[in-house]
Amino acid sequence: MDTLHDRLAELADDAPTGGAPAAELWARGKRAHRLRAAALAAAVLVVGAVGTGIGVRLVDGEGRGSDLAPAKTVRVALPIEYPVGAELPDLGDTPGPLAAIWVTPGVGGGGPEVVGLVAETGTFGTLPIDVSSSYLAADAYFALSPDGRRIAYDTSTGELAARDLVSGKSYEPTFTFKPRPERWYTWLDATHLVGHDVRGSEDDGWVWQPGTAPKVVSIITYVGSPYLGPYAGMKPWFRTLPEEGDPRECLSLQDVPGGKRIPVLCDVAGVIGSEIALTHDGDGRVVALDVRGVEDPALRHVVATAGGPLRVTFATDLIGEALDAGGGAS
Amino acid sequence: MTGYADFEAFVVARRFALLRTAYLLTGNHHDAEDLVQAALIKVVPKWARIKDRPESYVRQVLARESVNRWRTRRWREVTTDMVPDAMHHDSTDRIALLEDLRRLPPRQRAVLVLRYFDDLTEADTAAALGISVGTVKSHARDALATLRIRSSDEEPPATTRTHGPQHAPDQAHPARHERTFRVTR
Repeated sequence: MDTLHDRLAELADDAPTGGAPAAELWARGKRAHRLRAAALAAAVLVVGAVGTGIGVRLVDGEGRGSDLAPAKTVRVALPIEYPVGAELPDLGDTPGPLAAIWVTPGVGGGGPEVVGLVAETGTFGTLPIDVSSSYLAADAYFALSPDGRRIAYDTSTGELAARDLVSGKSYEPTFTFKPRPERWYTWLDATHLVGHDVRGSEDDGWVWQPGTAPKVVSIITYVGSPYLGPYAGMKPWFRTLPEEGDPRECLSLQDVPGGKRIPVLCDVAGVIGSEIALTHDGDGRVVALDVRGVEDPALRHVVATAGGPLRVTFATDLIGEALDAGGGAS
Repeated sequence: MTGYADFEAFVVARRFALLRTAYLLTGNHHDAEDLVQAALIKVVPKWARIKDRPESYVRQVLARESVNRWRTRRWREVTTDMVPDAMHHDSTDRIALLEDLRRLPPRQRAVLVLRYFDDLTEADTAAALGISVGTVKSHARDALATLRIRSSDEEPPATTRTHGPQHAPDQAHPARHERTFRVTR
């Protein structure tokens, strides 16, 4: 005869083991705190204004202006409209956080050029960095941190490099192991770049904080999310459309064995939290949608209008904050 | 990133234990992961204050969050005929217990889990959920009574069962005739 504790413990053995990595939780906790502080400050200002309006006066020297001020956030204007055909300025080494970044063929068939959208000013421009020509074949990854401050890319010599867009400082990792050249990587948060080493099992990966040595990690355990990079679509949360697939199937639900129905996305251009995906819709726009309600138009918001490059990397925290603030067309 | 290293160490060391509790609180893999993540995200702003002994505070947030979520329709259980993926390898006994837990009101379930799985005292359970010791006692008594009724097949009429196909008890849950347990507190 088992005790209740024994039976509960036996049942708890079926508990899941996943979840977002600590770095992401920390970043989300900090971001939520900042947003709450900003909301509180806004509420205080409203109450203060109303109080003044009805004749409430504070004694001189007390409470003259609150120290609380909205947390400084970079507000991205949505939806993003790409500068199709425009001549773009050079943004220099320290443009500040970017909202989006992509690679285009150079003018007159030259080498690849990197184009960024400065989050704070809404300015599009080029970045003075030399990147691998493989970007033009769309088989290299360009990573932009969720806060838009750091980029990571393959240099023209095929090496991995990172750059801080606020300080202008560049970093190159010293790998004591050998990730394959056709590596995938992405920023897990503002400071952790995580990559997948395709030589071994799908669990082999690495994490790198610029300025320190990269570490080998179990990537599934470390990342904990099925949404990132090559894992997108491999887990039964959603499926991405194969290249030869019918675009009309995008943003629909598909039956899978086991009686489940899972969302079908055109692609995954980014993820916000654990439920919001940035993906192209059938009209070529980038939309943010809740994968739990993929067929519900009310749960979609246009992040970027049609006509832009196919492979854009977004600063997902900045996009998420803009959406939280009511940005994005429905 | 003040305190991040401690937070990361805590998450690595304690996440699975939190997930076990969360799974019993929610009865669902996805909700359990989401609940643990939500609790961990919530404690980040307070980490500097709790970092020396974070476990009890994190568990308090976890327990309260689980009850609060059930107050909104979004988090209420969904009628399903499907056996959860992780369960089909094993016994119907586990499934039956999981179903019984799911049917308990959220606060009764939380009391049951905190008292008889996490082994908290009545006072600690009361503190974790923000309720009185007397309420803990009554919730525990009611929850155990409900489980005993179900375990002895003195179940409510079929019309009150909202989960799964309707079967004769011994066809649906053959292990239930043998199910009985000791409460050792």
